[in-house]
Amino acid sequence: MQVENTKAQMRKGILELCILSILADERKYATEIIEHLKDAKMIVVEGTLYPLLARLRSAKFLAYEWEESKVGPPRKYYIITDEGKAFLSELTTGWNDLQQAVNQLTNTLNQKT
Amino acid sequence: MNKTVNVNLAAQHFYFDQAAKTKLEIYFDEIKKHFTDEVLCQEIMTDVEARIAELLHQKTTHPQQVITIKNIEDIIEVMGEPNAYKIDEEEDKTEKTKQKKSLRKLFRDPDDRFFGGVASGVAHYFGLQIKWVRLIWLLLALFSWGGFTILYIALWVFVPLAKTTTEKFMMKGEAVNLSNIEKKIREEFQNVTENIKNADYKKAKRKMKSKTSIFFHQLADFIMLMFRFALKIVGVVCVITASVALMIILVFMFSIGMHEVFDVALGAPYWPPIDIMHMGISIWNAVLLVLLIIAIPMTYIFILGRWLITSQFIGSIGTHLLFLGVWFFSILLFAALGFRFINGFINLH
Repeated sequence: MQVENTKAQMRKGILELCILSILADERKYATEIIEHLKDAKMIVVEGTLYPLLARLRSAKFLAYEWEESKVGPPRKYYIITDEGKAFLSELTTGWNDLQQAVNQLTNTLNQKT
Repeated sequence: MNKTVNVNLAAQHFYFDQAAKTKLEIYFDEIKKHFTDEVLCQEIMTDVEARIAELLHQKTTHPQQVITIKNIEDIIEVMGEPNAYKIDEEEDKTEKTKQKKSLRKLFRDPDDRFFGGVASGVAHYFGLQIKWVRLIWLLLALFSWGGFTILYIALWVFVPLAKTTTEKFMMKGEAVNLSNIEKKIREEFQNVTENIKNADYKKAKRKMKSKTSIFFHQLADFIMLMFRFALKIVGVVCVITASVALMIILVFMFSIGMHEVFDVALGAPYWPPIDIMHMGISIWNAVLLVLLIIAIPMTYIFILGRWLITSQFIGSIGTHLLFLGVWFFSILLFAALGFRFINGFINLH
């Protein structure tokens, strides 16, 4: 088992939470979302993002609108829906619980050793 | 010197090196393989195309610049290898939908059988309870004076036993109903029209090149395609005709059988009013013989039609020989009986 592989798996699980969080305050188009994720080192390659976006869209957590751009072709802006917001808040709770649980476990084990 | 081609990515125009274009095509195809959902796939590819177009714009300094294979390799590095697009959960789903997509097939069920597992297989196929199917079989067999036993044996011989897990899954797969069949035909039709579209595109290319050899290649491809399509239509006609004929034969057998049962039980005279004794055979047996002579070729028309549609031929050489033998025997017997009948007729007058 490779470390990188396991790390990638860990990140993958919480990518949806991250994408929804990025879009929570304002609409963004794919490249902007990618920049955020890359800055945070959440994704290594961009390919991972698009299927997730499409899946969130088909689950009606995201919607999109096209807008003309001054510099290039029309851009596809992703917007979070109300259902998406509800989903995000549940995911956030889930993430906090998980974080706490993991911390608790790793801390007690660390203290023992 | 390299040839350049025009490429349209997300409604933007690019000049591509031929090799670069091929590389990108392969990349797209590889990505698409991960998604079975048509709509989802379309959406993803739109986004991916848009992003690649954007990246290519960043890389090119002026619009006339040709995209090389190096550019594409850089793009793939940024975007990730095709399997980066894979969603783990999606993968499981893909497999499930694939299995779901396969239409239910008629198999004999080895796990729940009384004789050959035909009844249980039929029950799975039509989504009925096995006990009812068995009861119906029994009633049909009784009322048709054993006529349906022939059908049972035919099914026993022709319908394969579900041996593997996949086959067992297919036995209980997605129900076969009108909308499913329609879907299958539509898919098939879509394939054909797409091929025709491609052929048209190739034809357009041929005009530019104006090379006769290529023209004839495309023409041959096109004719072959039409030919295959025509064969499929012939297959459908065969299957429908043979099914209707076989159905009529079964109904006929059934009604004659009923007639015999009730008439004999009531002690009524034989029908039709021909002196059966001259033939030395009951009318039921004679009818059965005639029906057998018609039913066997009809069965083969059905199998042939099915073969034209699905390119799968059912039955082993042994069964084919057996059926051929039975058929020849029936014809011989019928000829002999006819001869006897005419003789008896002449003697009567």
